[in-house]
Amino acid sequence: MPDNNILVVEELKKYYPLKGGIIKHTVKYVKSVDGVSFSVGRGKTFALVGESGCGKTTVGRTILRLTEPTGGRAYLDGQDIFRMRQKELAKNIRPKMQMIFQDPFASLNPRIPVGEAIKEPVRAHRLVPKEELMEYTLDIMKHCGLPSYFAGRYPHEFSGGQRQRICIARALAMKPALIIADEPVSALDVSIQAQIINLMKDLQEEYGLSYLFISHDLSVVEYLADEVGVMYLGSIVEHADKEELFRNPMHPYTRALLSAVPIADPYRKMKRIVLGSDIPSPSNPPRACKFHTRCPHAMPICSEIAPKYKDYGGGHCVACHLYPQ
Amino acid sequence: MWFKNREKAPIAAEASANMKDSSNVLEIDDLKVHFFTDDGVVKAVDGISLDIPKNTTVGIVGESGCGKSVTSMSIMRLLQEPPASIVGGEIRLNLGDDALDLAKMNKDSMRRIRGKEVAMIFQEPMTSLNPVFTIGEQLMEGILVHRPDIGNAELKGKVIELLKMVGISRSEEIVKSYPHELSGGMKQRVVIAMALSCEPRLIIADEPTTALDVTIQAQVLELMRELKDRIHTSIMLITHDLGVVAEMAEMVVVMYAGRIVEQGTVYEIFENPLHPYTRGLMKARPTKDNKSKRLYSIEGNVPSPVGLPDYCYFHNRCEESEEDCKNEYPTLVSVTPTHKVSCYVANKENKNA
Repeated sequence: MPDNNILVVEELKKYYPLKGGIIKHTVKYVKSVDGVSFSVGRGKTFALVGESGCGKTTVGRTILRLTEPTGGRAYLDGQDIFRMRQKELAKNIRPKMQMIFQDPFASLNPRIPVGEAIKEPVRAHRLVPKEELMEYTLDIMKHCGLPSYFAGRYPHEFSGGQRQRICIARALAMKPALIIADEPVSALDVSIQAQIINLMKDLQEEYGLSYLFISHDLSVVEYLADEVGVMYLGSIVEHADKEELFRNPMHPYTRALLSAVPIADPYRKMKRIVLGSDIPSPSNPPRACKFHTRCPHAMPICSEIAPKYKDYGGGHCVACHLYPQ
Repeated sequence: MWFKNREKAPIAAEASANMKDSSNVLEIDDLKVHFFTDDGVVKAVDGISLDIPKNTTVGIVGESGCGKSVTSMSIMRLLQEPPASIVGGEIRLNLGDDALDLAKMNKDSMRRIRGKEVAMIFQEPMTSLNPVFTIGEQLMEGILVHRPDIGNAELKGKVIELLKMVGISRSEEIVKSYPHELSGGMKQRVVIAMALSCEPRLIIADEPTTALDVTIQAQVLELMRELKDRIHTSIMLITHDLGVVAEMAEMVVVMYAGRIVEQGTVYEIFENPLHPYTRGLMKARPTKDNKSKRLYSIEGNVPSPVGLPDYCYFHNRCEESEEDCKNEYPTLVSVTPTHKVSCYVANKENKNA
């Protein structure tokens, strides 16, 4: 395994059983994540993009083993995450891998002052000696733009942007190598969103953090990511460097996603690719290429044979029949 | 149904009004909506004036807590009173021959306006549909309230036609299904169909696409644009997404902490934004063309709505603020006949130019 990757995920699968019939046996599986592979470079940001229900959040949760994977392998710093027992996991993996959740209103305990919330994991893992704990907490808070007098206050006293800063501080206090950020800015206002994105960028430079950034907002992704993987119904359909992906999107789904973002320019009433219908149910996905039901370029072959996921030069991988298989 | 033979409440005489300009559908004049809470008076909307001309889309932009939703709720008179109260101002609705001041309407007579003259599309399609009634029943109710004498066959035909209009293909089956059986985009289409059912003069869309995915948002925006021209209605589009506004609106109103800070046509606002807040909002958007390393961000937070200062509310976050800004709150000054801004700095620049 190359050493410059902090996280390597191979063929990750997560199936949820669907029960049915009289005796409630498993009739079929919802393939929420179906064979996803990617890696996150040290100090880099990998972004997973897709619509709701495409499985991007499940990927993040299974890597942390907040839900148990069905198959596949994941390595953090060369350690096999999926083979570990809970105790080892808590000792070796969780401190190095932290998560920031989407909704800062739901991810902080309303009864615990924020200083305590940030301190708690540090104390549990005995990261710093007891005497220095308070000082350490305040230092982390300062780095996240939180003044020290906030430490004694409760979450309800803060606005959304401040709470997200607290969540970031809590994740950062563990001095993790990797932060999994699940839509960290989508619940925030535009002007606050910019503050949080800048903060995440600054901290990355300062601490050499790696991010797995999960989002549906391509404009935010373009700002933060180094590499982007586009997910559709449980699999990655396109993967490339950020520049390459935004300059030359190859998969019709990526193109549609890009063109769907409204542009703040009244003169550019552009022609956009409007996808027909909705995302199909993951419990009953279309055969072969899962995108063929909505694809503007669908051909007969698309509903018969699943396209191969191939590298078309420079690490730009696509699974689509439009390109030579 | 129970409401079929309900007597209609008379409209109070003091609610009649005169339009300033008969080409407007709605005129809001110095509207003040305050909330009387234990912590003090929250001036959620504090003296806003805006016109919505016929067959146009007016976009209202602002962050959460700026009063954009309160404005729309007070047009519909859906605010809970108390604690809310319309303290002053007029909301004039053009009914063709005469006009009504919605701010003075009583609770019962408002029922004749809601849905029929002014309809609303809410942010969350999941919560704005009733889970225990079928789509058909919910669509029929709205039509029946305003047209109790409509025949059964006509009613059914109308509902199916409405669903077809919003691009739902299997409308005969969808009529019989319940909201949970539909996807988010479909539900929002149903809500739009409901808003259209009585061909209202004005549709208020409160963040209609915020809860939807980008691809579905594109579908819904396209649909709204098409329908606006088809039934000749005006849309008041409330959003925090400048991209959506640029695409949909003809006029733009920017709100901050309960007041209008800038308004104008969409071209004026996007080409020549004058208020520092508007400029900040535009710069803060991560876009493809914005290639700089760091995103621009407006420092600080939206001020607490209780105990706002006497001077410009944006002063503490403003980069361009000067001595004058500590004076009383700046008035809205016209730059062109359509473009207005409330800022000392912007006005000074304009005079010099």
